[in-house]
Amino acid sequence: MKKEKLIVIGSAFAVLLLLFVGVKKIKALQTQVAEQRENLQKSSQRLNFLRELEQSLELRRETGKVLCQIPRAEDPVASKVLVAKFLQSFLSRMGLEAEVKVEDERESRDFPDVISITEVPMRIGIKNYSSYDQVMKVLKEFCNFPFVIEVLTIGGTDVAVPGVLRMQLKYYVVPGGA
Amino acid sequence: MILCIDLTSKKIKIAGVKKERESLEIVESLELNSSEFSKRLAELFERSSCRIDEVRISASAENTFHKIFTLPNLKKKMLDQALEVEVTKAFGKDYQFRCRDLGEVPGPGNKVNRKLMTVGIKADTLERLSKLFESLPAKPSLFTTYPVALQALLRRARLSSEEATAFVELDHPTSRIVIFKGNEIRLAREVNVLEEEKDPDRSALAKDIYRTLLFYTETYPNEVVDRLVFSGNSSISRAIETLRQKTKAKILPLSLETVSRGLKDESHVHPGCLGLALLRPDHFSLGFIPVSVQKRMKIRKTLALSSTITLGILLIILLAVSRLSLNLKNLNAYHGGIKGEIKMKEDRLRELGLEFVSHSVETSQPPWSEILLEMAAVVPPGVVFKSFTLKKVKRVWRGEVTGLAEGSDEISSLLLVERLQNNFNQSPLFNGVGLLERELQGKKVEFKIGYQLDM
Repeated sequence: MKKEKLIVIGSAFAVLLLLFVGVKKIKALQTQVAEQRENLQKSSQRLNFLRELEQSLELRRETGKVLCQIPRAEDPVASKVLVAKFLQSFLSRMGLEAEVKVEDERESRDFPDVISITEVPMRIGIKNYSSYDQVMKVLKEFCNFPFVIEVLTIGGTDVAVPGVLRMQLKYYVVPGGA
Repeated sequence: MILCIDLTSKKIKIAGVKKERESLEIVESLELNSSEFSKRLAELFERSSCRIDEVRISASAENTFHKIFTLPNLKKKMLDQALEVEVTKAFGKDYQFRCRDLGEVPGPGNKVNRKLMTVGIKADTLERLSKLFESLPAKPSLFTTYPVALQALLRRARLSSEEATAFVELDHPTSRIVIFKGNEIRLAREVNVLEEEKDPDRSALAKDIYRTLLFYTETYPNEVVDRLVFSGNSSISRAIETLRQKTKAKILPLSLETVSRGLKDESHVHPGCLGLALLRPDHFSLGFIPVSVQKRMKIRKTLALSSTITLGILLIILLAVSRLSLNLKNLNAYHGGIKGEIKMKEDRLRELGLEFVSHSVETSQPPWSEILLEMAAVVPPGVVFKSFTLKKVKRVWRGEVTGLAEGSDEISSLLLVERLQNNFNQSPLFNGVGLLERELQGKKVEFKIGYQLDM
């Protein structure tokens, strides 16, 4: 009877131990599987987004216009000067006297990390313009470059640069684009 | 080979029987004195040409009992308890016993009783016999009594009948007589046999047998033994003839041919051993197992059961773990594939940076020309803009215009401002238009209007 009891107790202990270890292991695996499924779902969503984006960009490449880029130098200071000079001469050729202030190049947050694009913030103050047509022409010309205007004011003081027509804009630098 | 050991009388009889389906073959046949039994047994195991698979033993007569009880027809559990009480009353607590249900019999009045045949062996005898085999390779699988084994032999030899049948095994120094009726073992007795010189015509033996038959008739009134079956020494034919004349019973020889084809009616074939070989343990209710062996078996059973349960649980856990691991492995592989594809897409998108910027510029910039033209169109005569601002705040283009409205008087100036506001509201390019400030300066009104671009 004693031996039987010992066997039963021993087996019960072994079963409990097995259950404890087994259930723990199973739960850990279930958690891992659930986490992996979640990761998989996120990755699938990202992949779908990238596929769609790629399709749209490929289509744009085939049909869309090509943006011009301002020549740049390897030295960042030289690049800044180049951009300022380019814009000044560009506006001057349009008959506009302007002051251009260029800031340091920084990483852009407007695009996904996949495409490492940097931006050059700048402010332009046009001291005089003859007509609205001239302003519209300038803005139209800007569309040929990777510029985005953030603030535009005529007669206002929202952009810290002297001039009647003031603009705060960003110039996007695409790696290997220039 | 089945080793059958008959310990009933002073001479121990051993037979090695090969059993194949229904046929029996006697391989070994021995007669030993009890003093040399244990020594010769070990030798037998060593020298036996055939492997001994099983050992069956019938216990000595003085340590056994056979008794029929008639009890009220109760439920099984209660009947078992009542039978235990009756056996204890009759033989004490030293016996292990088994019973065979002989069926219902009419009781007093309309009551129905149940007839039970019990067979018992002393518990310490079973233990002692079991210990004899402790060091030997084969252990006894079956213990029973000589009459029970004999009953199996008679049944096989088609000598079992509803008539009272006496089986006499003639031997020296003791012969044995067992009386059966149907399934019942009614009487078992040993008869001393004198040496042939002292009892040349075997009249003393015949008398002893006759006395036993008379005792049976006294015990079971109105019943006589109808048939006499003899086995063993055939030198008592005269005594048998005397018995036949006295009892008027039919004399039947035990023909071993009827038991199994190939068996010869030879004196060295022991009926008790042959009966043991004929028993079928799986269909046999009168077999005994010593308490210590029962305990061992119970322990083994418990061990097997608990091991099975533990192994079963282990197996289930292992299955679940392997299934989940496999699932995880598949998911990892699939995820790895997707990651690879994402990496490829990202690399490709890096090459499409300029297109991306172009797309972003086009979608984020308002139509500047249209806005400036619309702005010129909404200004009524008499209103002058001092400033015009448009800025992007969290993906929404918000703007403000400040200016001066100059009418013929204050009212018309105010109306001009209202008209300007209305024009803004009616324009499809602007929404959320609101007059933020308005201040009279003589006849003129200075104003500030806020708006959003409807993109």
